[in-house]
Amino acid sequence: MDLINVIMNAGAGLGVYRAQVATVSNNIANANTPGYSREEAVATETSPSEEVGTNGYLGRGITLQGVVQFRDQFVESQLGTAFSNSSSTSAQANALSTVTALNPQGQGNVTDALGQFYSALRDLNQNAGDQGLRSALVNAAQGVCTAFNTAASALTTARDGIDQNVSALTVQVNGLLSGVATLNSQIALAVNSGRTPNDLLDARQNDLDQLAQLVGATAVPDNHSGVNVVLPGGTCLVSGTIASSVSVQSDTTNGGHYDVVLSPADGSASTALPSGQIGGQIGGLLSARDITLGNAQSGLDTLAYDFSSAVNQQSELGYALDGTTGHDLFTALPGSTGAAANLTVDATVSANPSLVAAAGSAATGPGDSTNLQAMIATETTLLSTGLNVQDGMAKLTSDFGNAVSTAQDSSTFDQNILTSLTNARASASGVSVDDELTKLVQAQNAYNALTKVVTTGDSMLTTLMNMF
Amino acid sequence: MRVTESMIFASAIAQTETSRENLQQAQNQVSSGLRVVQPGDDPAAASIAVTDDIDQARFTSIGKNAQLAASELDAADTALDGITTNANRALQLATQFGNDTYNASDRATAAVEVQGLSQTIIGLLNTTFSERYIFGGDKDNAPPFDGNGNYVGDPGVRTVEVAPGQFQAASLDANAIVKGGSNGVDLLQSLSDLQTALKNNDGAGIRAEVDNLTAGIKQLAAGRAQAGIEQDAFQNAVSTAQAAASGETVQVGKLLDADIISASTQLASAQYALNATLTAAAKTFSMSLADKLP
Repeated sequence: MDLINVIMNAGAGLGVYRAQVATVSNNIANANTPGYSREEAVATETSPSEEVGTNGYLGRGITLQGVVQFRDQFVESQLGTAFSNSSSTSAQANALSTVTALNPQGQGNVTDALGQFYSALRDLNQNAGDQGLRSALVNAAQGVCTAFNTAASALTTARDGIDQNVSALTVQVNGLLSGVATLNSQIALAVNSGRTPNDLLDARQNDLDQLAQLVGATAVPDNHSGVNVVLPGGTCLVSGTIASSVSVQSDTTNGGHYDVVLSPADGSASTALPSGQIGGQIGGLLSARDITLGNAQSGLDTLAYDFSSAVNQQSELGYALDGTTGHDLFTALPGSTGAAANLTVDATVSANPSLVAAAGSAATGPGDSTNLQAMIATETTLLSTGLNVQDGMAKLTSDFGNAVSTAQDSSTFDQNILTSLTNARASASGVSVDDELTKLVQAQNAYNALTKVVTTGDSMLTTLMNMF
Repeated sequence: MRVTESMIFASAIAQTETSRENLQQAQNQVSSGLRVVQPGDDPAAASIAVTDDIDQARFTSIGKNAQLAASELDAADTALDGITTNANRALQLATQFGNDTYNASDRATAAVEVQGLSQTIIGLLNTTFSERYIFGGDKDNAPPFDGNGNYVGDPGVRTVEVAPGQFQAASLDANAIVKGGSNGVDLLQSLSDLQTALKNNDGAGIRAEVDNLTAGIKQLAAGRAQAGIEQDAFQNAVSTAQAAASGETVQVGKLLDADIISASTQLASAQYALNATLTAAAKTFSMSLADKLP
């Protein structure tokens, strides 16, 4: 090998180490960039070696093989599901833990109001003709109505709030779907031209992570460099470079709450996505809205309807102070749907408490409280759920509490799994500044040494040239 | 395991958030005094608290109304006591003026006193409690006895709850106690007859009322005994219901309230944990090769 080649090899090495320093610089700069995977400028010995003498070989320096990313595919394959589960249970826990409609303590809640109502019945039983006690009973009945109305309103508000949240999130989803489709196109272009578009791959992975968090979508690689994005139920959101879009639409069969609707890119008819096919944050919110809060609302409606019907049924059999009969205490409701929100005290009784049907006969005097005692007994009447009103309220509280508690426990569990996997990802793909600085010093030293080789080679060449 | 900066920062953020959340929960428990605010905090406790709350209201109400019933029976007993006193005076007059040594003028004077006694008894029979005529049966909004001693109430006997679903008579049938019902002595009629006999200077008639008045006074005693029995039942109900209500209140407190010592300990523990987390994070952040290189 002549001296010129020595200098050229060293020069090539300088280029490799300069690339390594540039890669270190890029890694450190992106140490906190979401979705960034650390890169490494991989150098390899230049081949073939130069044969000298007999069985002697001189190396030809170093060549930059490429800049590679570090990704642990085993970890990556689990992260989508982990993102989806964690976001789903976390969204449920957050949405449910703010609902106060069924809190066990508090003046004016349904439990308190039911206790007050039956106490007022007992008070009136003690002196059935007393107008003040009759007014107090009507007020207590109004208290029950207000408590049911307030609880129903709080549950409706919570469900409506989730609708608004879901609506806002679909906008984010559409941006990400469109982004993945565009990146699929750009990545294919780069790959086809022989490049490895690490930055585009990072950006796409970041979008895919967010889609997993938002809707539980998973990425299914195609046969080339692209990925398709698919919902848990199998609905395709992105096919290669074509992205569908999602939006919300009011569902009249579900109290006007929003469905998530898929609008295919080919212009075919939009279809509502079953909530069970959507995961992630939106899936969790829909589950909290339709299952936990939906059950609580229908349970409250059923309780309000059954309770008021039982009291009315007995009230109709009794007699008012004026001897008339057939009076309802609560306004009769057509069915359980919306009963809690619409429960009111019968207007005529409310205006004239002497119409409270306390007596068991028209012939007796105002002290007759026979029917009141039968109304008190509705406290233990088994309602349509097979439980009395007290146990029904307790079960409603218990069911809701268990759902919230389960969501919170699941959220903690799923968050722990996600933390473990994101740590594994960060361990494999994240940037360690210490590592990078070590590599920087290593490359710097090698670079400095190679510059010595160049100056030494140059000096030797000068010496050689000065011989002539 | 390869540890990167993002892991250190993410871990510091997560641990700090957890520590702060624990601290906030501990602070809330100490400041509010409540361990269970939302059903999700402890579903079983929240559920039991609902039934206990309604039970507590029920027992409180039963106790309150049993106390009112006992007070009303006390008023009835006081009235019957007054009636008995007046009836005894009438019996005394009948016994005294049944002796034929008294002349018409003496007996006429006694007749006036008997009339007064009779009116007093009618007044006592029209006793009200909480603006209600307690001897009127179900017709408790008007005097049950008219000026002539006729009963215009009804035989309805009011019942009040002594235990959930268990009702106990809380009023007396004045028609039976004073007027004798179907086979007893009509005390007011006896007084009227005594008054008439005294006016008419009818010694035999006066003496005839001694037995009737004696029987009437026995009826009053039986009525008072009944009032006493009912009163006892209600007093027992008051004690039982108050104890039960108090027990439910304590139970709800145990279920939902924070134990102040435990909550304070948790608060202190959470403060230490947060302090330790922040210190550890700060120490970790300060360790970097960048600080060591020249």
